Amino acid sequence: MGSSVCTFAIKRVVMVFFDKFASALQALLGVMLIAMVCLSVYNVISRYVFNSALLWADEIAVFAMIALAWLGAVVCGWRSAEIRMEILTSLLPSGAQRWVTILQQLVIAVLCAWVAWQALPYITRAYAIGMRSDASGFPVWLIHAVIPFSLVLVALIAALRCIRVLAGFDPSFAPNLNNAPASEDQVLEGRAG
Amino acid sequence: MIFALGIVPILLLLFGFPIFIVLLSGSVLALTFYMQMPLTAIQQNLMGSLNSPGLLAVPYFIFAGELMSRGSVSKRLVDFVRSLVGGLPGSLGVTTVGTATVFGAISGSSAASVVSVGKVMHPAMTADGYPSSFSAGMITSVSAIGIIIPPSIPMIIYGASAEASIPRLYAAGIVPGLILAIMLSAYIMFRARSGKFGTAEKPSVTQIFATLGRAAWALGAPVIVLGGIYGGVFSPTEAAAVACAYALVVTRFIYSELSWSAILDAASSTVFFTAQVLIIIAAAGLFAWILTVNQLPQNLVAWIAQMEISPWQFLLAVNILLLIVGCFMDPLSAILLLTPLLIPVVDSLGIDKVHFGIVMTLNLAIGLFTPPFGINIFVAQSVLKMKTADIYRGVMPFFLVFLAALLLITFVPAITLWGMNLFLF
Repeated sequence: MGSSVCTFAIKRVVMVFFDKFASALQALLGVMLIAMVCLSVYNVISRYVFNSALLWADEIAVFAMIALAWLGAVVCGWRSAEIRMEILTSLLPSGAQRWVTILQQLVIAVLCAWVAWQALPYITRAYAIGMRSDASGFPVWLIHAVIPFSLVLVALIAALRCIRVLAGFDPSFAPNLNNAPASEDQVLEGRAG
Repeated sequence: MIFALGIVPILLLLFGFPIFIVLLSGSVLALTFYMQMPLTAIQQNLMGSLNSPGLLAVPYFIFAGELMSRGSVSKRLVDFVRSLVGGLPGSLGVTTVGTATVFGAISGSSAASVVSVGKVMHPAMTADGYPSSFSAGMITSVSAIGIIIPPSIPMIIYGASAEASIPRLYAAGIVPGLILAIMLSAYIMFRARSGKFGTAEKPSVTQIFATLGRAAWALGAPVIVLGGIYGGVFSPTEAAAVACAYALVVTRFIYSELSWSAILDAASSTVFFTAQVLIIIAAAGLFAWILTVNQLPQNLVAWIAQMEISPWQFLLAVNILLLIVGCFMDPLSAILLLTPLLIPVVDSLGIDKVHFGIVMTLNLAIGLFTPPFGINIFVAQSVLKMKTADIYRGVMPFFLVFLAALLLITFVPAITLWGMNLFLF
């Protein structure tokens, strides 16, 4: 009983950490979006008022959008909010749904980790030769690195979710762990008992 | 190759995998097992698909819509449109259509329109004697106009995917959107008169000016966006950024409705929705590149050429396909999946890409409220607290009106092309 309480406490800490991380990341990306808007609007004003435009503004805004897309995908992964077609799977019995979820998470974990791994040679080469973007001189490797970094996190989340479902818990991580999912508490109580 | 690019993606799609994983897995399988190419092409394409300033308009327009849909903007628009059409039979229904059209020009989001317009209009219509399923079906379906009237996010995605001009697509969407609004209003007026429900109250000029004054700032958003683009003041991307700044100033300082934390919350929500969409664009770019490298669209063109299909037969087949696809898939995913395959055929048959974009968007707009899985139905069910079966029954007549408009717009390209030329001078 003691070990299961301990395991539960560790899992809770991990979940709280991931959830706080996802929320903080989403808020940070929100601030970045506001900064992108400010930069684009400033560029319009600057063109008409000061008769000069920031040549690097569009490029930096696009890089920020790329970061927003990939890092935002981590938040979507954590909240199970990726766009998908769930019509057929929702018709399956709950036992079959559980195995489909396990299969989905396994494929996501392996595929994302594999794609991230395949990106490394390109990024290390860009870093080694000091490749920089045309307009802003931004290090190209850095913006490219956002993609494998995010994919590794998505793979990690999928692996965690897979373990969670295999252990008999609900696949969705609780967005607010002050209100832990009933299923998890129920399962723990059942095991502890 | 058919296994990697056809069977696997379809299976994963049916098994409820995230769409970006569906596209990524097919691409990775094809590159790893069937193509003699370095795998770094995956990283380059995932990056390159999003490395386009035109796509910046997606998060910007979503953010502007998020800001404008919080607070009293929809109520102000409803009051203004109602004062204009108050004398017509079924005036509240016509107001719903008019507000959804104007709201679409502000937010470009159909679901946001269901929420904002539905909350205000459904109780008012129920109190005015409208049958509940009729008003629910109306709110669920007419909100789909939002993605046909510019600024439209599906049109930006289509433009990026088909390499079609976004200002042209926007200009081409205006007349079909207005025709649809007129057809829907005519149907509502007919139903109100024959069913003897809904009161008509002739508005006074003072009332019109008073409501115009209250809604003027909200109405300024589409004027600035479309006026800015077609006046040559800024690009669609810059217009989207200016729309955000405008929405921020109006909601924070003029209407004083949003706190800074509410603005940050709107930005966070935007991040969430933007990431959902852009991640699919990234994977779809890789998938489309693999299709092109393997000459699959070209083979499809050759096959269709062999069958000697005429443009109108092709458009009819595409309409049926898209109506079915739209029932099961969201418009953005459907555009990203199908555009790379269909555009070479469209080009080979001499169909205008802009016209095809409008037809595609309209088809997928219909899918938003087509039973059993149209997303607007579920949004309406949650907002209006009604049974799904009642909403299903309510949307069916509107589905037929949309279908009539679709046939008209598909087979009379002059409607979209005339509108495009009108607004592009």
